[in-house]
Amino acid sequence: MAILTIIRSNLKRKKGSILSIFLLVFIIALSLTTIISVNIGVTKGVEESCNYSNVPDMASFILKDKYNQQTVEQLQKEKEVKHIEVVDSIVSDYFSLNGKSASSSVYFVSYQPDAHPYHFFTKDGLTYKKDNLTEPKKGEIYVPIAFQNMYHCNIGDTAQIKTPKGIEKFRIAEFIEEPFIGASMLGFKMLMINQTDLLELTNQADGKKLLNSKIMNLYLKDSYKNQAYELKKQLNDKTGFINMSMYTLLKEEANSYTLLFTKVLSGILWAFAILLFVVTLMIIGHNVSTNIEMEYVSFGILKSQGFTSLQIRIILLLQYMLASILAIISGMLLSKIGIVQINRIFIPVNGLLVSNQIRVKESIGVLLVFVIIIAFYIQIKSRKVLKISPVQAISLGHEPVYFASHIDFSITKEIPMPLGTRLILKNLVGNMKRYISTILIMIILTFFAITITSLQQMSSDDNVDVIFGSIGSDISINYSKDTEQSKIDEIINYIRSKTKITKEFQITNRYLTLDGGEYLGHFISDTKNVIYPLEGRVPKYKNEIIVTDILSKLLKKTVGDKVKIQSGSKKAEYMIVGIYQNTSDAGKNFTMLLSGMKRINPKFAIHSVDIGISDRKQSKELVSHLKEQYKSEKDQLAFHDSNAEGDESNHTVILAINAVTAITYVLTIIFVAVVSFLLCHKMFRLEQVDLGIYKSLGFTTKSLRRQFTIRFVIVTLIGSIIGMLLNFLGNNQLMSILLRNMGISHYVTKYTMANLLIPILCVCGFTALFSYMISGKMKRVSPKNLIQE
Amino acid sequence: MNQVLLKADSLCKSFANNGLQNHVLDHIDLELIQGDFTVIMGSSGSGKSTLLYSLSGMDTVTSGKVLYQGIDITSNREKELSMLRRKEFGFIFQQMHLVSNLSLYENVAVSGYLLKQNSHKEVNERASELLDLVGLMDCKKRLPSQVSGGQQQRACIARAIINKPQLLFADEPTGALNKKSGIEILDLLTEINEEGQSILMVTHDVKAAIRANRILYLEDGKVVGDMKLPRYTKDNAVAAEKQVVAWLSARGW
Repeated sequence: MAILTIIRSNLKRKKGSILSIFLLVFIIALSLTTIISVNIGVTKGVEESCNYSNVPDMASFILKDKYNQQTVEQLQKEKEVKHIEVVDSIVSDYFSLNGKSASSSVYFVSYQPDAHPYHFFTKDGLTYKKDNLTEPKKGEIYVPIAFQNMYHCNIGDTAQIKTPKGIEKFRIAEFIEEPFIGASMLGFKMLMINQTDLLELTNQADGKKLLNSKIMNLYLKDSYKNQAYELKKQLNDKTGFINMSMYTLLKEEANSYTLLFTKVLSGILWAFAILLFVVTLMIIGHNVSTNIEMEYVSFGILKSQGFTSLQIRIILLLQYMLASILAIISGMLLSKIGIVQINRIFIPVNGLLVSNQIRVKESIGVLLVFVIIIAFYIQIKSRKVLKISPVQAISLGHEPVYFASHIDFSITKEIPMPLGTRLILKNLVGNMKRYISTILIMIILTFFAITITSLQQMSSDDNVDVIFGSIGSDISINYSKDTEQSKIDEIINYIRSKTKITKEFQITNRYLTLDGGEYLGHFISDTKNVIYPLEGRVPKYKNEIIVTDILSKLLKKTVGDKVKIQSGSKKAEYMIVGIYQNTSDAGKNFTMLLSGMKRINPKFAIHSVDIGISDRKQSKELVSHLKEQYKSEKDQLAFHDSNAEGDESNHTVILAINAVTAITYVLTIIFVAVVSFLLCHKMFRLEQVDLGIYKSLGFTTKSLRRQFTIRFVIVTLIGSIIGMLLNFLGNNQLMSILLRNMGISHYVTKYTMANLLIPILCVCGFTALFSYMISGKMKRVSPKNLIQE
Repeated sequence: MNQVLLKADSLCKSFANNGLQNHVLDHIDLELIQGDFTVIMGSSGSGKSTLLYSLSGMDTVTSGKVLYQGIDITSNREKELSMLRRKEFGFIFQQMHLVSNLSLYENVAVSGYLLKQNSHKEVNERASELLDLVGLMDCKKRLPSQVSGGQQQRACIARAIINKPQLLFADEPTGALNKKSGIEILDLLTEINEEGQSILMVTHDVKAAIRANRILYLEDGKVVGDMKLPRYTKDNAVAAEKQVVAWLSARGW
């Protein structure tokens, strides 16, 4: 009862501090519950959707002329295989929608709702329709929901494919939840059309614009479902089935790509939440210490009345625990809002409609750990209570003891500096210990604000090519097999007459078997100004390859090691000569020269050329001119403005990055506000008597407020500058760890005035604002307070 | 005749407490003359400190005027009051109240810097002069927490007179000190008064009161006694004390 009475009184008197701690813990609880719930929700969502749509454990995409029924029958006999289903499909590399061409192949299949039902989305894309069994009518097409953002399309829009007979059009009738390859992170897509339309396309297939293909869906027995990755290699060794396919994709691989972006952004938010937790711990610790310092006499009185140190420490602990627990409960309840919004943002990214359920058990588990850490920390910080002697506290009070500091700034020095500035420096230099926790907090907040701002580079900058390791260009020309080289030269000469060409190369990609595993290979005619190795060099000879750091670690091979690469039945040995960065296929890819590919596929050819120009803004105009000039040959020649198409394809990702940036900036500002309030409030209380003295000497409230604010801003600035310097030293490593799953193992931050100044100005600016607001309390400090009757 | 420095005209100060008005100062009229050492005495709760702070502008008044050199300071805004505190008035508090993180030297000098009337060098010289006067040159670089109460109060006196104020207000300056320190402080105040410094002091200590040349006795918010005293000397101290005690007793002290 006695303890409760003290706690109740403390809660009334220190409402501001307790509320601030409540707010900080609330933000952390809200953020973590949201992240945990979204993560679990999306993981369960993809599993449930795959089960609903009967997604196979493994799917091989095979061109009809490579399809071997015997291989399939051989596979069927393997003990791990439950059954195999082969589905006819048509492949097209000439799909476009709303004027935008697909960057990868599109597979047309007929919708079979009894075998593979898919959920249909309502018009707003936020819920499922009840009916999902209707097949598309003739001329209709069902597309994954991710197309909404990828192509800015709606129900009723018209998709086109080039066929030998001309352009075939399909009207979008439904957006579906296709959980296998429907996410925006996966390039190729399966689109559903009417059976009759599929037959018509099949009859038109010419091996160039339309290709007949089969999709072999392999289902493993339940006891082998967890071994799909190993079985893929084993089954291939026995049957060679991968070698007949263009690509074989595991369900777990597809799921990891589907969830890739969500996981990466969650990772970043997790890191942010943990940093905020560290900041909160520091603030609580600072609060507890200052509390004890200022309530020294009160604690002495309590001890003289018979309270033990343990009871006083329990009082301190329970105050903060009460605030923390209430904050956690509130944060968890309100996280629903965040979960709904984030899931909504990620629908076009994942291609899934995910449950908005709050994952209470898992969230409580994590937050409980945080509460225990807070309790433990408070216990450590409150050990000072043991040193309080009742008699000393009551009779002498506990004046802050100032020792002659080795570092001191005297205001009597004859230097041309205003009095206010001298007093600020005096206070800062003499009391630097008091500001350590503020500086540490500002270091953390600034560091993370710069990190988050630097994420914007991934969406908008030239540096994006460096980060993603894109083998990028500005203009891309696709041409048919029978187009003459002189025509291509003519086009290139035209471009050269308008602007300087910085690079010119041919490139394409294909999945090949490398040391028994299937990986994405890039085949390039010229590596000059195109690939920049992190280690070693680019391939110069046809038996050399360059691999990503991620692939190198996966293969456990590095520069100087040899690998075996197979295409169809032909295989050859290649040496790894370099390591580079490229995020294709989540960073698991390699590059070789075109001549290298011809060793295992002599007929291999590339019918496109990519050009980089010095004035990139001209690409739109040049492409537009070329399209006009060669419009009569549009069946043989296709021109692409790679800059514009690159921006468009990243649109969804950019949205998500912007959302995360906005969220973290808002949270940073809230933290700056709360930190400013708590720390300024404490400083103010400690210096209240001094303020009264200054007023009695003739200082005005305005000048005292200005000094107080400037002092706090200087402390913040010191923290911000250190945070910035630490960011220079550590951001690349941190981002490389956080973004590794995306294939970025070597992040390079491009520092600009904007991405440095904006976070620092934000942190310092809001600190100045909030500390000036809090310093308004000085108006109420009167020299009268010094009077003792 | 010496000029009137400060004049109170029908000064009233009331506090509201639980719906009841408490009239601490009740239509006080008085004049403070330049060069005088005036003491305010009265029983506990008589309004001595309230009168001191009302006259000095530290506290607001309920009604009436306080005229300093003919100007009513009760309607002054913060800026004007700040200027008064910098230039015209000096304050010595019972609890010393030196700025905790400034050395004694800095505490004295800061008031001089604030006025901006003299150069930095001149202020430093004056601060040194005053610290020498009050006997604190040896410990001028120490912080308030590192010196005794008496030394702190001496530093407060030096700070209060660095800008040569017209009037020095002292609220029980010896209240928190031991006997020896108290005497040192009173000797100092007597010395600076002899040099022409006008002082208005609140005290309940007769030994302190006899240092003054004028005693005002306050009762129930009114000035009920006004006694003139000869200049203090050690020789006439005992007689003066007896005289003052008799006078105070006659007024119910």
